[in-house]
Amino acid sequence: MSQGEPTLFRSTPSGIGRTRVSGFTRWRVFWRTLFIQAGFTSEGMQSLGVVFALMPALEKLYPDMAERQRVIERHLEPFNTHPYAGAAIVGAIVHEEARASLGEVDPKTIGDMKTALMGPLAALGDGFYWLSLRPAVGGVAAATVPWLGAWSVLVYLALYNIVHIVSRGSLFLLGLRHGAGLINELAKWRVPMWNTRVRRVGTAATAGLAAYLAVKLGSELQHGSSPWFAFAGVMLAFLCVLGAERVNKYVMFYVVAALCCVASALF
Amino acid sequence: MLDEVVVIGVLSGLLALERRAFLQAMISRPLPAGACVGLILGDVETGVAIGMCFELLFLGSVSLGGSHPDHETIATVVAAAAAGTMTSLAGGDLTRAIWAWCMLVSVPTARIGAWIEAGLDIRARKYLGRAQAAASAQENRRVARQNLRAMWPHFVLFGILGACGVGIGLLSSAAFLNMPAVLIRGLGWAFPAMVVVSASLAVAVSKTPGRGWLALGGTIAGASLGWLGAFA
Repeated sequence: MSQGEPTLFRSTPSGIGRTRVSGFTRWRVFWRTLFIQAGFTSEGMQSLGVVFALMPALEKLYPDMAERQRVIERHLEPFNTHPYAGAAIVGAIVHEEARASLGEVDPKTIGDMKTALMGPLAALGDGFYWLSLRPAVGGVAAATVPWLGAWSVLVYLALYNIVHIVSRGSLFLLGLRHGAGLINELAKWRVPMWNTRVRRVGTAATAGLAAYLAVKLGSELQHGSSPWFAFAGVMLAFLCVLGAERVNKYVMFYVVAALCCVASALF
Repeated sequence: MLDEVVVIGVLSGLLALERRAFLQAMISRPLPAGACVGLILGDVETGVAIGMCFELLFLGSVSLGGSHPDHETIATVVAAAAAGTMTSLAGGDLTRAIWAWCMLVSVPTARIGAWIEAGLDIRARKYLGRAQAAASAQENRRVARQNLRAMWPHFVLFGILGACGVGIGLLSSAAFLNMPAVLIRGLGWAFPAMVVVSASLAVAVSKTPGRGWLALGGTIAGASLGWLGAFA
């Protein structure tokens, strides 16, 4: 291997990490991780996406077609994780495949690493992005609609994607740098602590919006009893919160509409 | 009108891809998606109003472990397209009633969208089979292409479904305008009630520690602001 070839990262235990994966190839791999769910199948799940993302790196690491074929077949095994966290695992795979191509690690351990990482990272990603960040940002953006109108969409996309893009890129670099050791580095991010904080913001915002709209829209019904409509709106909100776990949300949605039509006929 | 149908169909297909296949930057969420449809139809207010309501209604819908939650994007596109079409024909005082009507009509498409997605995931097994065959034949570029090939059925099917929203608006306009005035007034009252229900459900599903106190604080603040704005 010549002295001038670009290196990956030298953080392997043996201190040796020269590879043939350039910065441009790493960028191509990261870009392709954005399509990790494009070919989602019920059988292999994200396996097609993983192979698609890894291909530029595998072409550099395994110039021999027969060897590359074996590696690709290995990565067509079922795989499923959170799409953003998938970038971290793909980065870790590139790190470990670089070592495997040099004979530093047994290729079978890469499959074990994937299996070991995909569950915990899925839980981490689902817990933070889907169950905390998205509802919080959605709630805050929806709460700004009465004042900002359509500009609340920009609030939504900006708030969410600042965190999304930065963390997705950071996760990829984390995997690229640390390989199988990325989970220890990820623990330092203390994601569960942020889950609770972010969810609290969303809860307060949506509760405020429900109450605000109940009062404001109730008062705009152009009826003599507007304050009572406003009060009824707040009570409706309270009942919905209580009944949410007992009644299907669509049933509530349609029943409320029907009750409003009945009320219109009566008053 | 035809060019709007085509543009909404293309937008719907792209949003379906953004939701699952590429990027997941929340452009396909109801609030941004509704605003986009409203922009195309020249009625951003309608798109944002419907997007806001569906954003709150579907706030707790999550895809965990490959599951298929209700397709909030297609429900929003259909509702916003139908409402935007109807408000251009008969808006004014009927606007909120139109919003409520279109949301009630389009909510079932969320479940239909989930079924379509589940069916397409099963169908996509053939792309995995082709990838495995290509890998055995050392056609490595062909292996990678199967990932992108699996996207087109989503684009086409959800594009068609989204474009149908305009048709739903046109077809239901006559029925809507022939409704008794009392019913139309009731639907006008229903829109704010449906938004309140959606926001309340979003609070209920948050499962945050201390959500009761947070909700109480938010309610007091929101109700105070609303009261000051409406009655003070």
